[in-house]
Amino acid sequence: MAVAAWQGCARLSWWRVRPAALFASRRGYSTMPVDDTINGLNEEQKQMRQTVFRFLQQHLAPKAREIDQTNEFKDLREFWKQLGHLGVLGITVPAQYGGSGLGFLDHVVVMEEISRASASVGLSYGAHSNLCVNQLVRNGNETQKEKYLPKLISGEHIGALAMSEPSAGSDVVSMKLKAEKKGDYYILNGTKFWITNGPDADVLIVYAKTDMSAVPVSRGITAFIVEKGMPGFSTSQKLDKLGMRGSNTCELIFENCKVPVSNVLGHLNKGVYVLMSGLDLERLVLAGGPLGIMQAVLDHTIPYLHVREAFGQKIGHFQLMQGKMADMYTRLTTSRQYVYNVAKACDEGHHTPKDCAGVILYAAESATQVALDGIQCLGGNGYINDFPMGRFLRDAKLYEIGAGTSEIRRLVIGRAFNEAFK
Amino acid sequence: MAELRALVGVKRVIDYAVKIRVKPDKTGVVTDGVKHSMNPFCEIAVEEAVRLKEKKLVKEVIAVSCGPKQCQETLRTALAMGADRGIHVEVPESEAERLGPLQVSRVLTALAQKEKAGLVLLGKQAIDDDCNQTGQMTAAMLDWPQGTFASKLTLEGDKVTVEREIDGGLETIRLKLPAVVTADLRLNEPRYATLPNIMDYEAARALGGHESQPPSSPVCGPPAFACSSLPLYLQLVPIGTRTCFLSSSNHGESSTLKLFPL
Repeated sequence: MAVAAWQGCARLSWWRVRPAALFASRRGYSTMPVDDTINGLNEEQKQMRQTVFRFLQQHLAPKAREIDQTNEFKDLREFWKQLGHLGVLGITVPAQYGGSGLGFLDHVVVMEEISRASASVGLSYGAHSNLCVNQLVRNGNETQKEKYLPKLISGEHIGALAMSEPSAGSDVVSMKLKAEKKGDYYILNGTKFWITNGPDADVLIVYAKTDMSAVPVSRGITAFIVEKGMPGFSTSQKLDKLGMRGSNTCELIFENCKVPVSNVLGHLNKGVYVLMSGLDLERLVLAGGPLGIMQAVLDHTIPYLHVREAFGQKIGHFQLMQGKMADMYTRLTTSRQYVYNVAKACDEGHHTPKDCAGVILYAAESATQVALDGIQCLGGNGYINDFPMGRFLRDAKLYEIGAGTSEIRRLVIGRAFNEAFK
Repeated sequence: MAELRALVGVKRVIDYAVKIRVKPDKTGVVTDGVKHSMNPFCEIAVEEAVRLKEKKLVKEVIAVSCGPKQCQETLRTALAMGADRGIHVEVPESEAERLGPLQVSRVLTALAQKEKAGLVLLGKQAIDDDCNQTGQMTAAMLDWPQGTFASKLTLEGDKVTVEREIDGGLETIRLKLPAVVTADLRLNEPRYATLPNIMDYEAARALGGHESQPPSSPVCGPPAFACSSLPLYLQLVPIGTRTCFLSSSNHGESSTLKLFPL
């Protein structure tokens, strides 16, 4: 086992620096325990959560505030390699390509723990490990998998996926990025927008229209693998977002970008199947994000309520605060059971778009509510940026929009029922 | 390839990040339902042993833990970090609170002799009791040289050079093997068990587990314990409460340990 990756990280001598310094820097806060027996995890998954949790609380959580304030993760590349070493970048990839060969439930748990430490890094992680890597695993041919997966799994390369455009978000099949075949290449022209990891990605899965006159419109979409450095491909400056700051998002520009024919992912004009089935799993795995945010809110709120005093007692003992704790906890736990169970079902091969949309719909809206409650519990302290409660709210809101807006998710579920009665 | 076997003691303690609460009856701290993990100094000791194995200076790393059933989780962590075998010396929950450095060092002494270990690596102290005694006592009982508070360890042939952190600064001593070394903070930075390691271990365990027959006669004074063994990686070695017994006979695959009274 290589230990070179660890040489660079200095371990804080935590047990010599407590307690005063810890409270001042807020690094030593007690996190709330997660009852994994109720969550239905097996021994391996419990151990995995423990390991990943310890690593992240040590190496990511202390940086979360700075990442949000500066809208930049300075040690991104180094951290990605550490994640690769842990084995979490290729969780669903079969062992033969260097992956961990695990399932969606394991992926959700890791996504949750990363988001608990820093939701923006969690989003980048989700985009890399599920949107890019998992799509390659499911749709790539042997050559493509062997070419691109190893470095994506080790953390040397960062992955991304591009479907949205400035005028095509929810209505993604109306995308205008054009791909015209010229000999051994496809020439791409157009732009993509809202692309997570856009500025940093080395490998991107891009959806483009290869047949502008297809009927229906969706039948003209093809997925491509684009590499940073391909002629004609560039990115413009990163977006200044409300939340998920540090998870770099930008516009992609294709000006006569030459992509080899061998980089077509899946089949020509069949990109919509790649896209839609990918969306289901994307929603499932990304649902781990709001779970992590809710857990982080609890981690900070519950201890605070038992430290802060008013009217001669700890405010956690007042009934209205008890009510808030109960509401936050039950929202988190119900969301968790839904997400974990659907993930388990997907691992067993039972995969329904209705539930994949349902889990992220419910988890995201719960997360926004829990984050709002978290701010309320901390009162004035919740309103200042010395405490992370504001960041939790800003980060949580994204999950109601990205990976299909709440409105679209509702449509998916409603239409699934309509289908059953056709 | 060296013939050296390293015995590493690991202790299950309350996690360092947990907010400790005193029991209402003031007899101790609340441990029920509280998150426990491997003692940080024990992690450093395991890491050092595994690094020595990677450098091919040590043939086998055996992790040992004394305590109730939950200690097996700690042993699992040690195995996922790279230890080859784990030995769980089972002490019932009711007696575990009275288990201290004296008892543990007796256990380690017996195990070191039984397993023919050439190097015993321990953490310098546990973060729950801060005793800082087990390593020293074990060395005295074994009559082996000791290098405590090690911040650097170099193995050369049958000698080990230990750089110790002491009050006055750093002291370098050279010990002839077999020896006992206790790890201090700056000895190394422990690795995180990688997902593939955790899964490999669990998969192998799932494949190979089988229980052997308990010995026909109880070997310990009341209460009697059955000796079961989980092959492949874990061996359960029960010990009695007041007195720890031994049986030098082997009952098929299982054998109990000859130890002397607690």
